[in-house]
Amino acid sequence: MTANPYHRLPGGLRGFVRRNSAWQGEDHLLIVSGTRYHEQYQRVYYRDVLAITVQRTRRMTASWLWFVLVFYGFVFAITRRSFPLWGTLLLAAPAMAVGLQILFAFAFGCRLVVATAVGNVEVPGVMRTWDASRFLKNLAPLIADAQRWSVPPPVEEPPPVEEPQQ
Amino acid sequence: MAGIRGGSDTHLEQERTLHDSIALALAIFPLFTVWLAGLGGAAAIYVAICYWKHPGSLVRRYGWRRHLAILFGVGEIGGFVFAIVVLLTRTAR
Repeated sequence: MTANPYHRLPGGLRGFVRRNSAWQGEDHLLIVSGTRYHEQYQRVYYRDVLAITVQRTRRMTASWLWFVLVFYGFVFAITRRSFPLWGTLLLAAPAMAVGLQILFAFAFGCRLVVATAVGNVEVPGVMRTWDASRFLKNLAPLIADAQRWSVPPPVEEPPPVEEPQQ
Repeated sequence: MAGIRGGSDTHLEQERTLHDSIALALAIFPLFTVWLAGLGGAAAIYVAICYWKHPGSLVRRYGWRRHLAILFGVGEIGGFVFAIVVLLTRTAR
């Protein structure tokens, strides 16, 4: 096992098959998308970031935990003939989970895009506003630090050229 | 381009196939259909050993999946052989 040069950033989707996440590298942001069995990487260097935009939108996510809860609720519902109180409460849990998911999607859904000179790169793992704010909180100092020295020094006025005397 | 394809430089790599996760899936999912467990176990061991030196995920640096896949695979093959022996001895009586 070697030391991991990346630190996980807030947000990320751990779906049943699909996976998205973002990682903070030393000098770049690594966006990982793909499935459980195949990963695709996009790198955005901090010095190239021009802007980061967060757009409020509806975003449904479905992590594997939601699937398990809904599946369990479905199995419980079709195998039981009578529902005791505890059973009803247990059955309410997946329904509440789905309800919360829909509420989060409508009230707190967002899309985060990193703008660079060559194009915009969406960070697919960031889907909630609280993830976006924590993401920016982590990344902003690194971007500021990387771009501190990228501003060229002010150009000095060249010395006046003396006209040759005739 | 050679760096991208050959994976010689991790800063140029655009994608990776996670053979450890594939091996683990091959070991676990056939368990749900009992009759495929032996085949899945053998496939899991094959994938885990053949791709042992292939790099895994760029961001996940631990390799317990490979070991778990081999462990499951050996267990499944052992169970499969045991079931066949039991069946043969019962039919022989």
